[in-house]
Amino acid sequence: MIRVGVFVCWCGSNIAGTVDVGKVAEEAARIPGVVHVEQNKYTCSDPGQDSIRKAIKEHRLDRVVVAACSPRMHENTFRKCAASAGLNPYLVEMANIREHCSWVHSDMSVSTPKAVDIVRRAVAKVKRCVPLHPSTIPVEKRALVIGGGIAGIQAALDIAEAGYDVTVVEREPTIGGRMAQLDKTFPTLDCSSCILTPKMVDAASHPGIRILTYAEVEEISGYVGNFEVRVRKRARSVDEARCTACGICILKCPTSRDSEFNMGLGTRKAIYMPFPQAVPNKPTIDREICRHFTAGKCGICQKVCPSGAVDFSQEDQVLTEKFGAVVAATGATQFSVEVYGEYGYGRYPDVITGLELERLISSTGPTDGKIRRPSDGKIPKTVVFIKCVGSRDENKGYPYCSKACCMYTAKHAILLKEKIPSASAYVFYMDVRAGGKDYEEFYKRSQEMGTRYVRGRVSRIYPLDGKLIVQGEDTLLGERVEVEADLVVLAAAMVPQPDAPEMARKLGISYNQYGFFSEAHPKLRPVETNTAGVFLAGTCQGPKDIPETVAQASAAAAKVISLFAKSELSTNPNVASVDESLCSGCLWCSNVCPYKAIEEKIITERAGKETVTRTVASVNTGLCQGCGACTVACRDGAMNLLGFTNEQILAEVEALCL
Amino acid sequence: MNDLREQLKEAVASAFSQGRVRSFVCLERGFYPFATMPAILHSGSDADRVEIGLADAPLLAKYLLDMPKPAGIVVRSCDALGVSRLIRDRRVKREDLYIISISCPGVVDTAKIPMSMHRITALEKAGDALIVHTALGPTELPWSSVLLDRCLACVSGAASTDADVVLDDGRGKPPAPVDYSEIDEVEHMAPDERYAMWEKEFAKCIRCFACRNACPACSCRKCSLDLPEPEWLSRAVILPEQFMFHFTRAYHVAGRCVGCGECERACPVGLPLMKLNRKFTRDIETLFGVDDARIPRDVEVLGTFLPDDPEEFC
Repeated sequence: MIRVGVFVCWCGSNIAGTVDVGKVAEEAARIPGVVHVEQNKYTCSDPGQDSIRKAIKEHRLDRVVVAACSPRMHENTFRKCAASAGLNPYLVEMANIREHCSWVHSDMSVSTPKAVDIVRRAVAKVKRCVPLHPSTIPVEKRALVIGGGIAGIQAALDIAEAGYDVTVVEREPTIGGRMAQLDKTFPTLDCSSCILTPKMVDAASHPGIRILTYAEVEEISGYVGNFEVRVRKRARSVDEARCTACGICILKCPTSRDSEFNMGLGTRKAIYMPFPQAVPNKPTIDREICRHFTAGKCGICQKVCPSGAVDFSQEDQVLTEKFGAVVAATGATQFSVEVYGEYGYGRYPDVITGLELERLISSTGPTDGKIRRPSDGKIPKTVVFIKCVGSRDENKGYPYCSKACCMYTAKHAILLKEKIPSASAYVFYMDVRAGGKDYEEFYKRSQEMGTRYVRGRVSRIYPLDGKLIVQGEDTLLGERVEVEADLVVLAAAMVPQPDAPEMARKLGISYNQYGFFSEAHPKLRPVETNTAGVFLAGTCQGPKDIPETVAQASAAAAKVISLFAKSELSTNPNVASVDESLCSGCLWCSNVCPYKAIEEKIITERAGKETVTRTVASVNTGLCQGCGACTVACRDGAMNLLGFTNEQILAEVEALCL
Repeated sequence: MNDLREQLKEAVASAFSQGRVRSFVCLERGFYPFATMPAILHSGSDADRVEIGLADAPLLAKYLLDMPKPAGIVVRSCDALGVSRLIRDRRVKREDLYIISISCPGVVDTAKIPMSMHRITALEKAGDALIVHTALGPTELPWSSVLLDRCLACVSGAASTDADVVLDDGRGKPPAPVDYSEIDEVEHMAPDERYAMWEKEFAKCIRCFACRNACPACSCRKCSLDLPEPEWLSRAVILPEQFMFHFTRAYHVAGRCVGCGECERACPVGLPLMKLNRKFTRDIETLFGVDDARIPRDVEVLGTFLPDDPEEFC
């Protein structure tokens, strides 16, 4: 005989103010199977929980309904409470009479009968609940970090410091990412490489960190604690063990192309290091342009290499390894500003993007740190900055705020003044967003240094006598503005990597309408994803500046560390389960499963005189996240989500509707 | 016609003699001289029983489920889609089947032959006419006036090419465009009017499950509606349960209906079930841009998860 206890909560006046709790308790007592009903001011409080524990023992309750708030809020609390009284935690059901009832109604005569119905539903369900038990899975205590920018480096360092092995996979020939391209960083103006390169070296020399550069993740299978990852390490054509990084090969190489690192403002050789502090400090041959590979000639680098490190026959290596957790730190890229035809980017060489200016300011850049305009190499006297290029623009770009541009434009204006004191800077802006520690002060400083902030958009840029005429509007004064500029800098938005959706598919995570990876909860689970064991760090999740990226990377590392601190993981028992006797083996469940958790399984059984084999669906409970998509797709009714079985849901529907 | 039958007999006999099949489902002469019924043959010597089926021919795909494999089947274009459905639903394996496809000029629905012509002794197709032989002598009826509804909706009667043997005498029903006008009619009804129509229709249902049993898309090992627990469908034959049954049936075949119309043909009370099925088919074509949604595909639009789905509901 099932003995249900119902605990009706007042939640102070949250529920009791709108629902006649006494009446609900009275009605609940009449529901068949209910043997005990109690009211509490705050059921989640210590005395409230004690009363549940006491009632379970005194009244020999084997099912508990807590009529209180959303299961999101306190289901776990009451499950633990029941468990401490010896009851299986999955025999507890929440009846949400707060969010679903008292908070959305004001008329007690309506909300009270509704609350009774909600309790009736919960009782109907709980009577069909069965004890569920989490199973355990082992954890491979090695982390994979995808992306070797500042986010990936920070996450790797933190995880490795905790004593766990980390592999960083970076697709460029060096780690460092976007931050390596920057000159100075706001709001303190310390040199970007001066603070980044020590971290790069730390990561490279850390015994717990292995860095695979010029490598890409091809496939990820498995589940939390047990991912199997295939990585393709592209052939560098240079034996890293032999190379001494003397650089003579680079010096002698006859072929060059635009340097990606310098945003196309300079050139690099076919055998190259993206920048002098590259980690690993070994050159790479770009087979797309290397004459040995394109024409079968040359081979000078091989001839001049004193240590015989150049190896044209090197092949891609494919590694398949197991990891327990994955941190996605794949970064972002720059918006293609060509879309804004009125700014003339691509047509006028002196219209550049923020990242290009970084390279022009940088002492390792193509101009050795002298700001010279690309067209004629002259020192610019008037520079116009245009903000929100591609961001906050639903028509041509993206509706979101790119977040870092206000500050980096202020930084650019300050650096310009520092480098060329006589220069004047104009900033066309929509709003200045300087929310961050010391950010507002930094923005003020750029104003105090003489930067003219013009609130308004630029409508047109055209060249005239070696100058760029920037026409816009000052919406504060209601006046047209025209500036004769030598250089125009576009604050291009941060946008997701073009292959972010593909990476998301590999990771089995979701992404938003722009292509930024989605966190599990925007406030409370900002570095987790909906796929257990996959965490997010940095701009792959949304536009961020460096401090925020580093903080998030450490947060992701903390999540990995706490995962690895357990010897085994207990799995959520609310997973899909197949009744093989009913399963027809159509595998629609497998097709609709977002987590690739359902596979086909061949079973053998007797059918009359013959032994036959047939296909049925089989759920990998490690991968299953309990979303229930399969149960909906299953026509046979063979698929059930434990804790939300068809039988339980039908009982709920009947309790509410009949 | 007879040529086709001779060829078919030969093909069936050789399927047995070559050891390609252990059983074969086809049509044979029924209890009336003009009607045919399904027959499952177990030896090549039975091949003489094979009939093409001029009138009231049932579809055969569903029989494959319980036949000893490898199993042979003779299919028209409508039945071929049903077989394809069973293969995609993994209820039968293509390699366990031996398919002979034939062209089909359409099948006569004897219920459409006027009552005044009772006591049919024989039926004969002559060009664009059906000659009905009765004790009172022969009468000619226009061919299209006596066809089964599914044949009227048939897009093409040519023999399906996904078969082990293709027998096409070139007399298959010529290709015709898809016609959704009956769906438009229902869609344009006022909600109350439409509800009243379905209420009237479903009230007739005697819950014999013939529609389900005949349907090649309804092939579950055990129908969930037969389960005692959970009781999706109450045994009471009352209107709400009729709606529950018919909606469940329609939703379960949504996106998988091959449009063969066998459900409607099997229904003893004449429910217009294809109006529901074809509404889904048309919706899938218009909402998902699927070209001819009747054709079974490895992955159906309603049975898939796409990571780049726009997630418009979020």
